[in-house]
Amino acid sequence: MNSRTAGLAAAVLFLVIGSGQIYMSLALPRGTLAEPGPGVFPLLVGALMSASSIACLVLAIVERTPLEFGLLKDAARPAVLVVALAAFLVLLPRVGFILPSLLLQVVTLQVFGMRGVWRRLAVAAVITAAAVLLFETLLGVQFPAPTWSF
Amino acid sequence: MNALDGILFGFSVAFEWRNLLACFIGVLIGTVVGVLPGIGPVGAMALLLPATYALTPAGALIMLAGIYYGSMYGGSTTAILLKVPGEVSSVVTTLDGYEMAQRGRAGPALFVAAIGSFVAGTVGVVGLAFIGPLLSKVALTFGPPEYCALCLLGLMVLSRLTDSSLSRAFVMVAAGLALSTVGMEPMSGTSRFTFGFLKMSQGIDLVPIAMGMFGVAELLSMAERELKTQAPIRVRLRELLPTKEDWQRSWPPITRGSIMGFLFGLVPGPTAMIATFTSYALERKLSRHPEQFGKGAIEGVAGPEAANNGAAQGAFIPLLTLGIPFAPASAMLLTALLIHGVQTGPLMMVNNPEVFWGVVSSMYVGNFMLLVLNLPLIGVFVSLLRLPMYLIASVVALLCLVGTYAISNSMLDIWVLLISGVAAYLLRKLRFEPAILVLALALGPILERSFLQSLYLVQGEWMEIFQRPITAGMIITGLVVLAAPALLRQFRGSAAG
Repeated sequence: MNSRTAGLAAAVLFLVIGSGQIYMSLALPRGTLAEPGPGVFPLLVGALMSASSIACLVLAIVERTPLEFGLLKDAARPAVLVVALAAFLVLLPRVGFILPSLLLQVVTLQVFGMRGVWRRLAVAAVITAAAVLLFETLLGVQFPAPTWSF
Repeated sequence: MNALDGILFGFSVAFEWRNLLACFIGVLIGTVVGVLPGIGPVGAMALLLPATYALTPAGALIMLAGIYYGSMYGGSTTAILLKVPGEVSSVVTTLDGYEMAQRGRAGPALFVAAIGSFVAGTVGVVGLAFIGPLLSKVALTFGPPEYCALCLLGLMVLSRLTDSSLSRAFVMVAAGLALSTVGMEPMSGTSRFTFGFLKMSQGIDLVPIAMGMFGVAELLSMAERELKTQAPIRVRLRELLPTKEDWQRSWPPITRGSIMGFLFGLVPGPTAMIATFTSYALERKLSRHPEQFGKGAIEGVAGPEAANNGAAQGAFIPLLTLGIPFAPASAMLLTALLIHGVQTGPLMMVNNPEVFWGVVSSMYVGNFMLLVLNLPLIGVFVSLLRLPMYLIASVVALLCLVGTYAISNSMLDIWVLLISGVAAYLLRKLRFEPAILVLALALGPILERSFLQSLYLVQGEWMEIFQRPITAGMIITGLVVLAAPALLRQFRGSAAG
């Protein structure tokens, strides 16, 4: 995906969101100008977003300056990190805190260039233990109880 | 209570041992956050929000404010020693600060940066103490139309002051306002756009969005850039003192930068950064040696460093006197005040004088603590830069997730954190500025409430809103700011032709 396509895609996405906001606002009572209902403000916001997105769309078509970064340049490491963070969120309510935390730490350490599997595992274990001590024991944060259901 | 009595009362609050401790923890964390890349002051404030539940409202605000202005001090250390600005507002400092360090003058650069920040902090406190009460009195005459116009003015100025084009800035404003419409409508209590999630009827919290957009997004950017740990230049205590000539060249820029920064801070937007660029340009213009700029001119460090701290202090005025946040960090402070049940706005000074004056005076105490922390202990903070990047990143990742979850033990919040982090990472690539979204989300409820109340007040005769002098003045100012670049182009074109 080149930068121009990315700009166009973003503008279209915001146009869809703005139009969606207008559509959903129309389903809410709008009242009168003297007694405005709950749909008025969201309707105006949706209109602002749609109008600005159309302007962005035009800009993306005519603009020749390339974006500062290519959208997918060096995206592998951030993508791996996003997957690890999402895995943490999926696993946390199912298996509790320790396992997802270990997994997240190992992946993050690898993404940021730490060498050696055993070293990564050891550091991940220390950080996880410190987090349990700080958040669960000292600050009383209650992590979700594991359900072990997938 | 006049300003002097207020400051003295504030000192009595700030010197309570719990508040002193809160202030120390705040400025210490702020310095560390400023030195290290990653989480940033807004993320750190969001992260420590749950830790403030045990404090009084004054203590909570003192600690969170300390993180904010403390990070301004810390940000300059990496800018000078590594050419890596800890905060955006330290970018200008890299130009001459790093050059000074390369020429063996890192000590004087750090010293002047710290003294400049301290002087600006002092100017800021005096400004807050004297302008704050005046502005509060004016704000007491404000009705819903004026608040509505003030929010609109804030959003218009913010749209103009960021890097984004106007259309992109407006998309971000609309996105933030759209998120703020989720949940109960402020007048009738009607539930909107909750998609069946019960928790969303309370609205979308600012904290997970801010943590995602400032913490997770930065983490993803760091992963992309593959930041390497760099060995910073060693600085010994005896090398810190500037020469007599350094002093003579630094004082005028520090004075100008402090005042200019404070005034910039009153305006919505990334004013700390803009103040530093303006101060640098001004000092270069006024200097007898403009050719030295970019090659290690001490004025290029002194002015901008004072300006960024002045702006950080000035940014507290709209929040403390009007109850309106004009910067993401102020939005976090507003969230903290609301959590602690403090009614923000012009009456805060009357109803919660310990919060207003306590925070104002604590800034002076905090600035003094920062001076001590950042000069004799500079070596300790510099040694933090030797921590491997993978260690910093993995701790930041876990802190973002667990810190957000801990606020209300909600899985939805951490999903919001992740989604907003990824969204902000992509938005930045497309030159959309997520900070505008965060601020619009914070201003959204105030804007909607005052907008609806205004319409009720004028019985639908909406033109009456614009016939009120303050409202009309604010809207016209906003429109002028929006149109200014086009008008300037036109003017230059006709002048050249």
